[in-house]
Amino acid sequence: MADKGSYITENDEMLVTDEALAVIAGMAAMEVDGVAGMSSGFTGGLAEVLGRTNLAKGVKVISRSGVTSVDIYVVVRYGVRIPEVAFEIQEHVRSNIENQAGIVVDSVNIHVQGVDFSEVKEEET
Amino acid sequence: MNFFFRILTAVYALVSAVLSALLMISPFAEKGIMKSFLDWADVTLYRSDKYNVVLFLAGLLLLLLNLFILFSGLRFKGVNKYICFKNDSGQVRVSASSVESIALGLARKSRNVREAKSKVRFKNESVEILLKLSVYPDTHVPNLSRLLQNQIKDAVESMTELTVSKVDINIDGVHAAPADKE
Repeated sequence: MADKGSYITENDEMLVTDEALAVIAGMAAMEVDGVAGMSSGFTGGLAEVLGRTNLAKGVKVISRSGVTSVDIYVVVRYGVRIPEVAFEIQEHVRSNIENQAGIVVDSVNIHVQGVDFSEVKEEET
Repeated sequence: MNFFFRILTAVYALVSAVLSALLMISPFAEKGIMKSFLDWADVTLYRSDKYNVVLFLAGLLLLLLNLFILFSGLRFKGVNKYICFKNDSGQVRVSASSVESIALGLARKSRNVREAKSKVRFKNESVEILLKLSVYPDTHVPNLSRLLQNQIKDAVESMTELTVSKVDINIDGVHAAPADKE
């Protein structure tokens, strides 16, 4: 019954697609201080070249039989403490998804793909 | 290891070149030199017992070579590309390329550095960083490398909370391009 993207509330079935969850997660992750941007993989980059702005960039949502896990690929700003920022992203994404979609997220995995220097250079020169 | 590996690949390439040449010639083998060669091989090699052993050993050697190359390729790819922490909410993976970009960013801020490349390896809970630089002529290399080593070590340790076991610096070249002096 509960296949990809469908979730069951107490009485009725509510469908929230993985894509929608990914957009919520992506927007939540961008709000966290210290995140410079989302890192899209190869396919995401291709979609962007083709002119699609993608709110779910750098987010992968996998839900199987009611267990949802979110993978987030981020680029952080230089100088931040990665474990702290990662924890904040995890909490923020988790609470946003729970508030907006009512879905309990099993795990939020953060993949730090890069470090952004662009703001530091302006300060020091 | 690297040198040995190169010899192996050279041998491999040579053998496969000879084999492919034979394959190319084989359709025309009915006439000319090839025919006489095959006749000679037939008489002297195929019919002797030693040939079987030699053929078997050659095949075995090639097979081992193939397997070695195949698995070494897998192993090179499998080097830790990220380091993983776990907490209650899931995993946090820090990729090697993000640590590399910390090192690169710091190196490129220096006026003396013309080009920088970086490689990062994760060993257990510690990080090894290799930084390859090419610098401008008027650089005091020991000072520069000491400065960068300290900066990189501090930055990586404070950002990732991992320990940096070493920061190696290779000076790959000194470039004669004039540094902009105003």
